Amino acid sequence: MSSRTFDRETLLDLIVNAIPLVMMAFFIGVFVLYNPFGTDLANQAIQLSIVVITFGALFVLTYFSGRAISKAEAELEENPEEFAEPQAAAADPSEATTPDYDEEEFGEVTSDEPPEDAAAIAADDADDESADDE
Amino acid sequence: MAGEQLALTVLMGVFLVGVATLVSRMENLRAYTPLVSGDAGYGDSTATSHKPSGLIRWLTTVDHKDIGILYGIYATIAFVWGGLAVMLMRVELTTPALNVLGGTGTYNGLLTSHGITMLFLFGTPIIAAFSNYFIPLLIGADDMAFPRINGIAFWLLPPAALLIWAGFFLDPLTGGAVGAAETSWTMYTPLSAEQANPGVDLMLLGLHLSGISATMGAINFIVTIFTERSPDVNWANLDIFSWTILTQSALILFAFPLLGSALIMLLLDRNFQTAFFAVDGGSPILWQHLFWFFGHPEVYILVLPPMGLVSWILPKFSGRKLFGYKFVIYSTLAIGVLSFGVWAHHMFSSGIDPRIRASFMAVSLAIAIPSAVKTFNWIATMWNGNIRLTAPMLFCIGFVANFVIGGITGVFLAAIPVNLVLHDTYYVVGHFHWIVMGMIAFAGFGAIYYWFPIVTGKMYQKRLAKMHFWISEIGVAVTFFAMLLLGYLGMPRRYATYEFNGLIAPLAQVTTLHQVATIGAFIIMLGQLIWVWNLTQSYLEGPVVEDEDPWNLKETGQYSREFEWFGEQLDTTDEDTPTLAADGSGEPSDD
Ligand code: HEM
Ligand SMILES: [Cu+2]
Repeated sequence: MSSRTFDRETLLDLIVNAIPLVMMAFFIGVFVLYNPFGTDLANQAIQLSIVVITFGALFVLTYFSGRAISKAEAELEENPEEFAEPQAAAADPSEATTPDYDEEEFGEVTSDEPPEDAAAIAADDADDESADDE
Repeated sequence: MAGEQLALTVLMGVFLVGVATLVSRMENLRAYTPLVSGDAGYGDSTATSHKPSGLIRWLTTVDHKDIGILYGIYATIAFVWGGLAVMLMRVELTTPALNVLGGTGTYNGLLTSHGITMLFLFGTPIIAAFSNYFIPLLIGADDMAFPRINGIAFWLLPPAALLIWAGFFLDPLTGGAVGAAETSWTMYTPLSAEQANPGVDLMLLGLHLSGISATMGAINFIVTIFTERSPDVNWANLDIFSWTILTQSALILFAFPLLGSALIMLLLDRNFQTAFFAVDGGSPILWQHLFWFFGHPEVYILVLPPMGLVSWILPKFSGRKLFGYKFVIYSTLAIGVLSFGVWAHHMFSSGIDPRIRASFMAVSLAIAIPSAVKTFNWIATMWNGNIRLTAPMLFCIGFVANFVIGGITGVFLAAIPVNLVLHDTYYVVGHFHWIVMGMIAFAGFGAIYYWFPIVTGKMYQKRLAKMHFWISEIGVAVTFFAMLLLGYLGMPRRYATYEFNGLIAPLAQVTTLHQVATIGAFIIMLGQLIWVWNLTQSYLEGPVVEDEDPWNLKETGQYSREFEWFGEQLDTTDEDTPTLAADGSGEPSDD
């Protein structure tokens, strides 16, 4: 399960939090190896625990949020019809009032990576071109 | 000594975790269903169709849209109060010796009131205005999870403001026996513990009340976003504004109760001779730790939702989706966590242990990463996009630009050696004003313009809105660049006058820069006058919006739930009703 939950895509997204984690790990290393301020166990313990606890908290939150989002994405991919978002297609106002949007694709509005990756990228390219033309 | 304290702290922590575990295991506690939730809450959706009219409606409303509007009006009033206070201060600072306020006491009172008003009575409520009105629409909920608690949370705020401002009103009535608090917004001890003025106690009580209100709101949003989402919204397509409100609410949940406890301890110190923060008691540094453990998360409580607003609105006028939606989510969460590990960067010069300083510097540098990631995402979203420079978009772009300056000055301040030079100078004031005015207020303006058609059914005047933007941006740049420079020259903050020894700072340049800052402040004020005029006049006389898609979002596939809801309202409104006032959620029509 977990290998599927944390696939390449998800890991790539999580890089964003890996950077601060690496920074904090680096500082933990520095503080352990290099201590110009003399020995004082209590203060050293506080010094390390501040970075270690923050590191741990960020790690745990990143793990669980990554898992939740990636599971939710899998759900979206399995049955996209149930997770529709209102779309430009809903031009007809009478349609807009009906609560289900079966015919439309989901996700254009909020997610940059809807299941139809290819379609989304194509749409992006189209945008770019039209911008270049101007 | 420090070792014993540490051991005690760990012991206490273990004890508290134990208590928490025990409580969470009690069966009957789990099974308890609060009366206010569930059915009672849903009953409201039918109640909205029979709202009483006039004033009674506004006093009794539990509709999230009405409460959102109330928050907005409240925040605007607070913005005016805080703005007028600072204008008086800027006038006082035009020349070194000028004394228009009749004494430094008044200046200190205005300074305190300005800071607390802008952060607690304008910042938090203006965000709550947007979240209350729009989160339920964006996630497809009928209303907030606890509509009545929502109402109570708002109605705690007016008394909070009265208490916080009480010193000003009571001063003339009591012949000066009760005056405005002069503690500054940080309320540092021993000063705040030793000032006999009862106005300080009133202010502390008011702050406590506003904290309770914020906490109730936060719980409500967490529950709403977790449990009231429509079935087709899940974590992978939840909108970015809701994500930031969720994170903000979590921060509030951890930060505000702590402020409340610290305030009680301060009140006890003031009135009951306890010694929590006394020099030979718990020590004034304890106050600083407690205050900033709340205070730094508080600044992110204020800035995350505006970041969410911009992440939501900016793509709409760039003609493409937000670049890196998930990057923005993860970096929001990261900021939320990291913001609890940086508080002592406000205390670098207080003589705390150098090892501990180093740790806080490390985490403060780490928090800059997720902030920068967001900036790059916004820029990438606009890159090669089809940009439409509407007023909301202008404010979003200004927001990003101002964040670059505000954020980078913050990173400088987080470096211990730089901090020791610049701490408590105008540089710090410049830093956070680029953020609080340049970002929080700007995102608020952008969102107000963007959603103006939904809330009022009218369109604002576009020329005036653009003027509002340009005048504000120029004013911000003039005022707050001058402050950064004043800081470099060594001008200390929180002084009513600056007739000092030329060895401290070059007086001529300092005077000029203060004058520049004062002029800038008047420019900002001019912009806000235009804003108030524009909104009031457009609300009363502006053209009625009949298009369900006033921003042409369908063209780029970005038509979203809140406008869809707006469209439904347009369809169901009687032809002959002039304002659609979404099921009566405009302001009371002029009857
Ligand atoms: C990039 C992230 C940021 C960093 C590294 C940072 C760093 C700092 C530091 C080190 C100080 C203390 C300066 C001193 O008193 O010597 C400071 C002050 C302050 N910052 Fe930031 N900051 C950041 C972002 C923000 C944001 C987003 C806000 C507001 C929403 C903010 C609001 C404030 C305020 C209000 C103060 C002054 C507190 C006071 O002394 O009254 N900062 N910042
Ligand atoms: Cu801070």
